[in-house]
Amino acid sequence: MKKAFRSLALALALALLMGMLPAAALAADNPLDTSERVELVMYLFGNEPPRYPAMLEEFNKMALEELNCTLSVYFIGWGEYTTKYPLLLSSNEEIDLIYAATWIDFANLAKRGAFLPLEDLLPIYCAESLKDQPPEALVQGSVDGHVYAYTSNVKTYSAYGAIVRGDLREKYNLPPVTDFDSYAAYLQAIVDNEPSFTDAAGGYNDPLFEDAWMFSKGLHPLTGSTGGVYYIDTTAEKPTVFAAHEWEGFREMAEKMKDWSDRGFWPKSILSITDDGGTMMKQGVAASRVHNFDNYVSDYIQNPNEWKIEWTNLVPKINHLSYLQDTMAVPSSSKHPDRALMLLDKIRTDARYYNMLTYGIEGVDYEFDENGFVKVANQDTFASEPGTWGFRMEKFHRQGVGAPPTYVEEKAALEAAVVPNIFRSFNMDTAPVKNEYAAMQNVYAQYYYPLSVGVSTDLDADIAKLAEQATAAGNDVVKAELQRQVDAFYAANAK
Amino acid sequence: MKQRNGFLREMRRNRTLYAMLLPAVLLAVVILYIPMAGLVVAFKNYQYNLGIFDSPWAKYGGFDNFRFLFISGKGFSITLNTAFYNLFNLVTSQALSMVVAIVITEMRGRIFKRATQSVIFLPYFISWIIVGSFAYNFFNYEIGSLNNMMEALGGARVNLYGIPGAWVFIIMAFNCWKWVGYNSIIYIAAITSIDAECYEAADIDGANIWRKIAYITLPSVKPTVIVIFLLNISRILRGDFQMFFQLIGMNGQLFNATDVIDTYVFRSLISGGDVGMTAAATLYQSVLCFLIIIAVNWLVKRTEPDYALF
Repeated sequence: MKKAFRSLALALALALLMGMLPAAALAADNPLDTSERVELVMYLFGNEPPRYPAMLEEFNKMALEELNCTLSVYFIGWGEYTTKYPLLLSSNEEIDLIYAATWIDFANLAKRGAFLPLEDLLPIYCAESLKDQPPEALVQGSVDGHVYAYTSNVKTYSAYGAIVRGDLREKYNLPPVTDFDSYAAYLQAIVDNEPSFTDAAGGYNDPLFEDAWMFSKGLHPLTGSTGGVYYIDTTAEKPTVFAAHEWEGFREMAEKMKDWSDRGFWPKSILSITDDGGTMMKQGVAASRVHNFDNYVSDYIQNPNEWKIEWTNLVPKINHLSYLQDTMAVPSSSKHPDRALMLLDKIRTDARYYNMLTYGIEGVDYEFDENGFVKVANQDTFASEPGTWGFRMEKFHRQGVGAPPTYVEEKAALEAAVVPNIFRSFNMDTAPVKNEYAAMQNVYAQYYYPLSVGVSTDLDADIAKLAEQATAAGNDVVKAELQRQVDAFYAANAK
Repeated sequence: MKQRNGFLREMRRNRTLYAMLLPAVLLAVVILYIPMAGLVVAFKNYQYNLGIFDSPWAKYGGFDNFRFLFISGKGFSITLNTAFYNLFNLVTSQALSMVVAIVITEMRGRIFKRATQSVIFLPYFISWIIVGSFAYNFFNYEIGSLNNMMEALGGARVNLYGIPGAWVFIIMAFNCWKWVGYNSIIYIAAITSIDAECYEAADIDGANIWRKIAYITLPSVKPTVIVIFLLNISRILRGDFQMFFQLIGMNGQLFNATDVIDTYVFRSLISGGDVGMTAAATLYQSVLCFLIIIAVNWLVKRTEPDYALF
């Protein structure tokens, strides 16, 4: 009896203690306490502009005074990110903020514990900037029910289209490009009359013709981006997962691409070209390319105005791309996630912080012109947006001087063409079938890519070979797993 | 008991020598042996927050990470390709290096000799990325210089990017072009260390240049050849990734003839970034290399015991 009484007392005491703990913790120190001076470390992608350290010095004066912290920024170069990025996350080096995105395997990294869950931290430390965050952005940044990504809130579109030179189009009296056929007419005119363009369509080893074609037919890639293997048809009643080569329109597309290849729209050795279409347009090797709206804008800015560069969206039903295209995350190695998020909140809400990291020091590195466009003083010392896409904000984001005069209308037209697609929030998880998926990617590189740019002498044989190799690589296993995930997602999210 | 005494006595007697050896042994242990423990990651389902040793084991008794290599029957063909290319490139580039070394040492004019050697050496400094774009500009169908030349001479254009078999020789040629100058230096060193008296004696006996090469130069560089061969055998399953990737890249048409383990792994995992799977591929290469070098060394030991590595 005595014993029982003692355990009861103990249990009561424990319960009391446990109940009190969070309350005590909250009362004891204000969560937004900045009394301790901390040094934060941030990793971004790209190259460090030469004037970056000078800017950061100014930035840190401000941060030290207002938030009692300083920031060091390191850049992960384009040539090394595939190895360095996972290495940084696995080495347990202390990092407080890091760039992340779908295309650098965000979901898989999050699932494997590379990032800290933020759902409890954001409302406390990022309360201000959270007001500007679209709710679906938080959903898209979630894996297994935890929010790991605090994404940029700039809207981007799944539109892909033809970027052509208006001066050449007018020279040959062609109507504006509106679809694949009028685009082909433009390319044919170039091939027939302008031999100096050796690669009329700007084809290279990752050309996007086939992606644009498939998107235009209402297919949605499960990766959410280009170069995917598995698709669903968003127009279908209930989504069924299939590999690109199993699509009923695949044969037609392969024939079309072979026709374009045979007509000389791009070189026969297209798959060995490593310069991208944009570079080749600038060099005068290509007279067009297929890409998205943002690339069109940068092509317009970077090339002579008399080229009258035009862009036509070839995908009729577009979506907002997942905000997970660009995000910041807090690695699990961070010692000061609270302070890192407070700084991130400041960057996302205070134009002084945002502009400095994004454009440099006003008056030295940039100024805003009367239209609100950014005028960069010197592209070589501080080009805009050095790796800052992860915290790009709609309200602060500005176009560079020289953007197309029709920019605002064109963007509005895109916004008007947007249809909802819940699968933009779907994060595919290939971990359970990682071996089969890796083998499938390899089969696609070897047998599908050539067909997707019409490099084939015998379509029937090559298509049969692709199907056979895909089956051997475990296509059915991957498909079954992805179908299970899609069904579960559909059941949970479809209205 | 006696054994231990013997060991201690040996240590005491040569303590200075062992002390001198100690730093090197320590370095080898720290840099080469301790990190080997990390190989365990090949058998793990790696978790970033748990680290190498605390991550859970992979499926199938830890061998899950190796499956992607063999799943579509590719493992065998890429292993064979890798071994074939390395052997083929090793033999061709070493043979050519030796020829170049002999020719250079036989040259008379000092300035001409130096100039020749420098020109042959130059490609060593050119990165594969640049070589890759050379190759494209040389071989492509529409504007490639090779095809322009063929057409000017009345021939037909050839799409080399559609003929996988041709790339065996193109890769071999580029490999030789890049490495011959560098490798020949080792042979030049070996040849210049041959006692000049041998050649003088041969001159007096009336031997011509071919005989001198066949009976003096070649036998004297034989140990060098064998050592180089053995050293390179240990790398036989590691493709020169840069070379294959820059020359072939993502051109799927050519993979059947040109895919090596390194390029296959790169392509399969480029968007996955699974630490365990990459480690598994490297471990697979290392284990096979280890077996091959043991076997080759055993063979050498049986036939030419003096030249064996260990």
